[in-house]
Amino acid sequence: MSGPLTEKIMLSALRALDVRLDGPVTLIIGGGGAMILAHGFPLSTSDIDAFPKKMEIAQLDVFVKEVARAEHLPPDWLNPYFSSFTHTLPSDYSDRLILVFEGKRIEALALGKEEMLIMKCFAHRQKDVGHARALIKKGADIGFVESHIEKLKQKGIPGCEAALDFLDELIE
Amino acid sequence: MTGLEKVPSTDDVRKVYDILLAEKISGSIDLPEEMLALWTQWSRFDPRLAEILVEFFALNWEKIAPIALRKRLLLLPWPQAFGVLAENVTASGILSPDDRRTFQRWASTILSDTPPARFEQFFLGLRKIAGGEMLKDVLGSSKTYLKWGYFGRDLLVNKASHLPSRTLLSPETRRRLLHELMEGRERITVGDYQLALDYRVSRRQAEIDLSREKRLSPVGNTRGRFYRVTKNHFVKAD
Repeated sequence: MSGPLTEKIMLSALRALDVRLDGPVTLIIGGGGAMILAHGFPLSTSDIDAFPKKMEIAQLDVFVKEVARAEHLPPDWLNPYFSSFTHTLPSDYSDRLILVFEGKRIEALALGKEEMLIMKCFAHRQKDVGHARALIKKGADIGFVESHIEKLKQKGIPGCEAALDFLDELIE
Repeated sequence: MTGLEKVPSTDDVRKVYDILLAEKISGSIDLPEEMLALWTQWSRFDPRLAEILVEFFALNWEKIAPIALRKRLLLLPWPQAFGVLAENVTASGILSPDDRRTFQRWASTILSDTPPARFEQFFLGLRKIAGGEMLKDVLGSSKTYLKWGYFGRDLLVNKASHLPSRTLLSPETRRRLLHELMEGRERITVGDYQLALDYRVSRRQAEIDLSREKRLSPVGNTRGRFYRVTKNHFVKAD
């Protein structure tokens, strides 16, 4: 199967993964997968950005590959790489996670609107402007996001100026 | 997000340790550039592999065809990962100054026109999301990572045998870490400071940093010198 992952395909893949796992895992989902599954935005994505808790990523990847073969999905249909950017998230991000799938072994939780907006600000890509505006229209707390990025700026985290500039453009 | 199609397993990585150790013992290299390139990507999942590769490149770079390695790296998602390993080779004390310069030219050939990553954690899967250690990686990042758009603190050398020959942290980062070290302490030494920075500051630079810090008063003039921490920079020791 080629082409983007729709909500239906994502949930089917997560169910297929759930029956294969040999232990419990919590998946923290960001990126396009979170936008589709938690925030209801139709967009085109070829993978689910998901970081596992309670399981090593190499261990999970074995099952991901099994599902890829069985369901004719790309081999990295689920991958953890977005986690390398999560130093920008508030430490209490888990308070705003949204349950998007619960199986026998898997509990899949997507990042909340504010966290998604924070990550988009730090990515500051033109292609994210539409989705970032949509998150704001859906009620993402701009004051919270701005205040958090300002705190990161005080700490000296790189990229905060560009993130704030991106946010300013969205608000205008 | 783009990355490797397959995450290396513990067994995959262990096999690479064995291969590289066997090459080290035999003294000959018979490794295709395709494998070396792939292992630089795997190093993002395993700091020990990263360390072994730094030593491997430091000892064998002259035997590796740079253009062949470059071509393989450019097919992979993170060619910048090789940049981090190369910076660690340069920063380590393994190469002589002359060899270090030639090595840098060799590495520059491989990495020419490669843009840095977009300021992300170098190591994958090792930190709690948004946790304290992840933040420390960002705030205390070494230049060896920052140059290639990554955050990381680990010195990728066997510290017992090869301490770095230069300072790897920016002045702002060193100042921040020094102030953290001074909290709640009455005195510190140059050694304390170097240890707190994980030896990513040279002794000479460490001495300069402590002598310039307004809240520190030096006591003694020999190598046994220590620095008394004052409450504010107007109060000096007798």
